Amino acid sequence: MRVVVIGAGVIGLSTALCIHERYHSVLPSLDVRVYSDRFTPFTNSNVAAGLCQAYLADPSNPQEVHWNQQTFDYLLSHIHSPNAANMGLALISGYNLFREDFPDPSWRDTVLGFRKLTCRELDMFPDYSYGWFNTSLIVEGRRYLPWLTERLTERGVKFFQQKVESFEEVARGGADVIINCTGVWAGALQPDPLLKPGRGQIIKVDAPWMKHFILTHDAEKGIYQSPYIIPGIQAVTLGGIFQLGNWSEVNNIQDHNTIWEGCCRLEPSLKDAKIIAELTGLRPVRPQIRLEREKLRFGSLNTEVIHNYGHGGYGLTIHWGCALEAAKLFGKILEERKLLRMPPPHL
Amino acid sequence: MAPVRIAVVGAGVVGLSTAMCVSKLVPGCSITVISDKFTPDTTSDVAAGMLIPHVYADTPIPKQKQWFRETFDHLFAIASSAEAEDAGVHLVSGWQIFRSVPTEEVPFWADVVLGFRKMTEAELKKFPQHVFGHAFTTLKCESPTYLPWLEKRLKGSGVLILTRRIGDLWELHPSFDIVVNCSGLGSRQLAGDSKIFPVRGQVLRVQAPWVKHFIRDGSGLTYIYPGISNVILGGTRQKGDWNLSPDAEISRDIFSRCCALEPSLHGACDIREKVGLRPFRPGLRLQTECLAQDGRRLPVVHHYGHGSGGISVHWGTALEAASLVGECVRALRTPTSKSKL
Repeated sequence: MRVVVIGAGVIGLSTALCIHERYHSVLPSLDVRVYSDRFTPFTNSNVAAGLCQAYLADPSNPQEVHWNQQTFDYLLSHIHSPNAANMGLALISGYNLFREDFPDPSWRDTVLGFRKLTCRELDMFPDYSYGWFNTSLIVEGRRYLPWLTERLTERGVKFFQQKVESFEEVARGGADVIINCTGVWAGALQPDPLLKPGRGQIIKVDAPWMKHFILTHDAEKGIYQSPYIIPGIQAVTLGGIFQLGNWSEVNNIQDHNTIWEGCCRLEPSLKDAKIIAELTGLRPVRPQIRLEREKLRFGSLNTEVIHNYGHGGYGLTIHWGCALEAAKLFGKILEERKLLRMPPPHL
Repeated sequence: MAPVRIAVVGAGVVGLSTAMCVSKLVPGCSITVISDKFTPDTTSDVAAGMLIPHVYADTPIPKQKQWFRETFDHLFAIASSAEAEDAGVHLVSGWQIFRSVPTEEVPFWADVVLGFRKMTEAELKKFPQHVFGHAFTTLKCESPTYLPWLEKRLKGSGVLILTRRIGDLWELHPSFDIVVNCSGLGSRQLAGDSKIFPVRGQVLRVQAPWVKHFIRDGSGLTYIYPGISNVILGGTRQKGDWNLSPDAEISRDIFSRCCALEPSLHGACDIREKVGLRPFRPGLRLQTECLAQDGRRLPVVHHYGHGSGGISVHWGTALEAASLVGECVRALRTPTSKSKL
């Protein structure tokens, strides 16, 4: 049973790992491979700050709430291990700021210690009049992806650097099941008018005195278009850019100025922070994540595809729940083909 | 009128902040800070600088709360400004955890720090050995950065800084009119005060930049305090121990206690040991004494004995010390006292 995962961002690697963990012992013939043209550190997962926080509005697919929760719980269970730093995991607390009262989000009980901000705390942010404080997690792509790669390599999963031009080419190459984790470029393999790039630009600075994330929200501007500051393990990410439909992967000077001015206004101590890097990424924006099976036929070949793409700006936040769901769908394929030696492990 | 000449003895957080308060609040003075040790070699430099108050047995709680609040508000303004990095002051959130529910569930300083509340059940899961905790946001004031920042501002205000070891406060007479004694443990000799004794503290400074929260266990013997360029792991409280050399066995024990609270610390590297001697006294000494000898008079404002709470209350006590200095200056300038001389 050859499984080819296309895409080596957080979605591709975590889905590959989840499937291998759950099925290799009950399916001796399981051969998982990862095909991608980009690997860490050149994926979108590497640009993302990695703060586990879902969108403020309820997702159109209620399953996404569950997948976010599963991911948070999974990562939280690893926070206590000596491996946490190698995985790029850290607990982090911080502020969500609004210009007017805002209803509590669906994830208020997922994160830790969620509460409203006190007046004295709001005094720190003169442009904002309401907000939340909570403890969440960061999972940094630059450490997490190599960690996932190591776990996969230990399990004998092979990686191939190549640009896949079509599902057909992969099917004819011998793949029984294709896991499509191609993110923002999924449209190249199969047109998807619902999928669009949400271009983001970030500045990484050296500001180790910053211990809290600060996310601002502006109802008029929309998600990710208001300044945000997210400390990582080594560097602090400054952002606030979201351009729907912009495919440019090149840094833009106006966007740099927007980010810099917005973040320094929010946090004056940043004015002298040293800039370490500036990066652009394309969020794979879709009204909801495409996580479903599709049967494709190429001549006499019947190939199963599991799509797992369109995670917008919350891929790291939701990745493990989606990987579990993809593994469930894979299990159904195995059942249908009567390939399982024993009942599948409880997911 | 000639300026009143004031000598501040000691250049730790207490000495420098007192000099700053005097320079701002007491007009018509010239100030010189005199010390044998300056940053990074003072006791303050070893302290993590977390604003969590120590309780002074002899001082009424409202006064201690006032000192803490004044210090917190002062540093909070710095942390919220563009000066935060230069001054070494930043906000940090975290947890104070207990193995059994403390008799005092809400400490006196709960409404001075930010967002103080009890930990939730979910938060306590992180600490299986603990049943109760507080979550809050406070400040960290790092002396290796704060003291140089204070020194720079003092020099900018015309305060002189002198490196010299003083063996006896009378050495400062007649060059100075008033002495402010911020010599911490040095007061054993300088003020002949046998009530002040060291409480030795050993700490580890490690690299563990993924640790963003402080964790303080119960009474505060074991703690993890993340700072700007390192994480401080502690600690010890060894009464009457003057030994400034780190002890390897103690270091292993500190590391082990801290890893038990935060297992990810096993990945910490670049571990360095430091020792500081907390200037402990049954009560913090903040009072004026008029020394007299062979017809000479020397007003001394004593400002020492902060124990483990120096950084937490330094600005509040410095304001009070400056007020005492102000009284001395007024007394020196009134005709009655001059005629006594």
